[in-house]
Amino acid sequence: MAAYLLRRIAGALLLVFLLVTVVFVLMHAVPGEPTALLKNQNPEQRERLIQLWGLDRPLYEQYGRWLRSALLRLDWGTSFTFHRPVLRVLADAFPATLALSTAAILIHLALALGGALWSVRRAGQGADRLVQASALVLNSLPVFWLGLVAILTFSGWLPWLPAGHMRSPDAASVRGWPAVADFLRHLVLPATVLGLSGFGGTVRLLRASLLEALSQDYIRTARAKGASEARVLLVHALRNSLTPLVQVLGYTLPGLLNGSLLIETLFSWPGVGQALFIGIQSFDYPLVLGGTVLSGVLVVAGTLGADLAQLALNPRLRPALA
Amino acid sequence: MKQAAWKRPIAALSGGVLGFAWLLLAACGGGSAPAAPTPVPAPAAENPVAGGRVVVGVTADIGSINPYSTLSTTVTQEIASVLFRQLLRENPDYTDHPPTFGPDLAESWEISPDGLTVTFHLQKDALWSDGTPIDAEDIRYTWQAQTNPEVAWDSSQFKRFIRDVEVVDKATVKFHLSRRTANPLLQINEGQILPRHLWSQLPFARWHSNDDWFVEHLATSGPYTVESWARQQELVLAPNPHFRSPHPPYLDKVVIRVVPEVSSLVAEFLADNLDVVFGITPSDVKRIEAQPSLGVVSWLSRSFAFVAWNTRRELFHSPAARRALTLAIDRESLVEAIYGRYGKLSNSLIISDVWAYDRSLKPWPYDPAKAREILAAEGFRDIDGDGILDRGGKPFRFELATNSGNPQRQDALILIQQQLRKVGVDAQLRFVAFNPLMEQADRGEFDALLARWTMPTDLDLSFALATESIGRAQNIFGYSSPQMDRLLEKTRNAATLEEFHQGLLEVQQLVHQDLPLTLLYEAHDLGAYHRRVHGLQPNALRRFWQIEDWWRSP
Repeated sequence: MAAYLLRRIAGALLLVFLLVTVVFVLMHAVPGEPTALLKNQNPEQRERLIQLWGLDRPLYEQYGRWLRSALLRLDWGTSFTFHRPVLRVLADAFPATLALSTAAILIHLALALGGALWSVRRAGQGADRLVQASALVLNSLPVFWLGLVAILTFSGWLPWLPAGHMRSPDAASVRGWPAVADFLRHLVLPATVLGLSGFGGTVRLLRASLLEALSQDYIRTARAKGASEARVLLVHALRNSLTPLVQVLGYTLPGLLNGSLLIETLFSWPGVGQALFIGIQSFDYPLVLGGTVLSGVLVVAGTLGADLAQLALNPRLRPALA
Repeated sequence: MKQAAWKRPIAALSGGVLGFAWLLLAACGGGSAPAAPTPVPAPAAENPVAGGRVVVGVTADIGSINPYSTLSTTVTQEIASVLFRQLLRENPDYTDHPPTFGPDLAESWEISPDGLTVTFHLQKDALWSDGTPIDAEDIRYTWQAQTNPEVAWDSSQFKRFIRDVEVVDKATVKFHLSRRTANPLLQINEGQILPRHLWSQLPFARWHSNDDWFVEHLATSGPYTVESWARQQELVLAPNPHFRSPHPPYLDKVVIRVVPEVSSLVAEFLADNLDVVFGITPSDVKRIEAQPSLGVVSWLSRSFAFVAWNTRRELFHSPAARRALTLAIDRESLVEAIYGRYGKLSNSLIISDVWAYDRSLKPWPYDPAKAREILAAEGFRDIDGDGILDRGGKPFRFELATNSGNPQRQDALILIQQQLRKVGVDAQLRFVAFNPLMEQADRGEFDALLARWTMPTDLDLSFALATESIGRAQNIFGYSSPQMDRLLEKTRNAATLEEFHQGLLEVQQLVHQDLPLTLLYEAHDLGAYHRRVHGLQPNALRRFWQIEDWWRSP
């Protein structure tokens, strides 16, 4: 088990390293330069800044220097656009992203579970088909478009919810429950839209595995023993359908993080996604690299966590490790 | 983007654009019925009331509150102008003559007869928001920051002719210039004065990596100071207790909210979460004007859109061919279709409401027949009967590019393509991401492209037209004319405003004849406000013009 864990962690680290390398190379290969930095400067100033940021050195050297300082000194460089250490930019933005992603995952799970259970109870009926069809439609809609429609509907047409930001204007002085309520009101729209991304896939998978579980012998036994239909579904069938769900979640996490780049921008959510979006637009190499490392680590950790959770849930998988 | 080697700013609009700035996004949207642009809201009949809060929505993030260590974007400059005062106040009266100046931190000034020394007498009772007196040392320190290579301020060329800044006494400061120029006040005045007693503690070399420091050590001289700043979210401004001139600001608080997406910005405005918004598009106007409690303001910006011809290409080498292409484009209906009442036909690199604009220029008409005639004279014939002109066995076919993600420019390109097709010219459209397109333009690797630039505030057009600017500054056209170079040189070295003006007129005439670019339209900038907010006077210099006058009905 320990060997397996070590192997997986080593693999994960290697993956992050490869990701960073590819992003570094791609970033410099894309035509364009850090315009945010060098737009109107005169030649001497450009030279000075290019030296200051080390952009005059060969690529492999820039990469080596970045790796060294990132790993040894935990210095991820200075953002060209924000004129602040990249780590600080990301640390400031991370809580917002964490809150949004967590809420989105919870909403995603709740909706998918609810939808799948509802649909399985009515397998083959109109309601089931409705759930399946809406899953398919939701899956094919770009999350950005969904967000726009949500804004136009719920803060434009029916002005119930704010169209963006984490707090009401100038809410720094508000404390306690009113502040929490204000935050939650702002969270609803972006988290729901983000939670809906990839929702179709999860609901279909969960439905399929629930249906499969329901056709098993132990379900017939449970029913024969007189267990209520709810108990059969929620206790006996659901528990055994969770294994694939955990796996799917592991794969959904990257999608949620990617989606958060667009959703954060659309909803003015001051998270890592928005910072990264600004960084990409202005060719802010250190910021883009830092953001990539952060989301790379999160994605890899998410997948690893999902795999481990699966092991915990399904003892049958364990012997295969030996 | 490469930079011209030599810049000499002379009388113009201020607001710190040197050279032509590329505009990524422009307002997009619908052609509404033509009407006069909405003027600045009429002054309220009621008397201003003190107190209250106004929430302003902007689309661009606030880079820094230090105007010198960050890119001079519109929003950064606006914030700087709210927080810090300048030596003089530049008036937005540039329509008939170069802008005039009024007192700000300096209450009076005089220029020596030889034009080489300018002396400023500072207001004696002006204080920073922390109570420290504003004195001549602050002025000298600011000049040091502006010209320091480690700071690398992107408008430092404005200060090129300032040899030294001498502190005579606490309230008197002398600027020594290395040569006589047409309007030295413009160069000296550019940029806000910084609090030396605080910011000099951080060495210039560390300005680019310690942006938080400036917020933590802040004293302001403008009407407001920073109460709190959540980056990428909002900047909360509170009145500067020591700002008195001409009166303390009326509002208790100004909140500047960053909303990167225009659609979200408008939705938040319509939902009454924002009191004032800037950067909306013509297509939003209808929805906003449908609500009686909301109003729209528009003002002519300093930007213009055009088609750049790469004159290094054989097809666009001769001025006659470029004239034919210009005549073949129905620019009037293009402006109408794209901008409706918020656009205006453009004829010069100098915006039409600026004093130096050549009002004698006759716009090129839409005349496809004449265009065909010229092209025939240039040797273009449709030999193979495919409807496309040919010369030397090659069809008149080229790539017409613009940046992707801007629906309005893409619409314009499609219209131009259709119109050119009518005279037998085949323009193939290409949509390229903004950054790569800029690079291709710099390297001359394009045929023709549609772009939008902001006019340089110093009105020096050599950036785009001088031979020496090819591949170095923004002469993306590859346009080289000895006559033009002479004119530009003469204008740049003008010692008087009359010479400068005359030079600019001649330059505009020559561009109009040579047409390295076909000018399309000038666009209005748009903003909207809730009618409970009064005193807004946005103009091409500042959207937050005299923000101390803003007030809110109770």
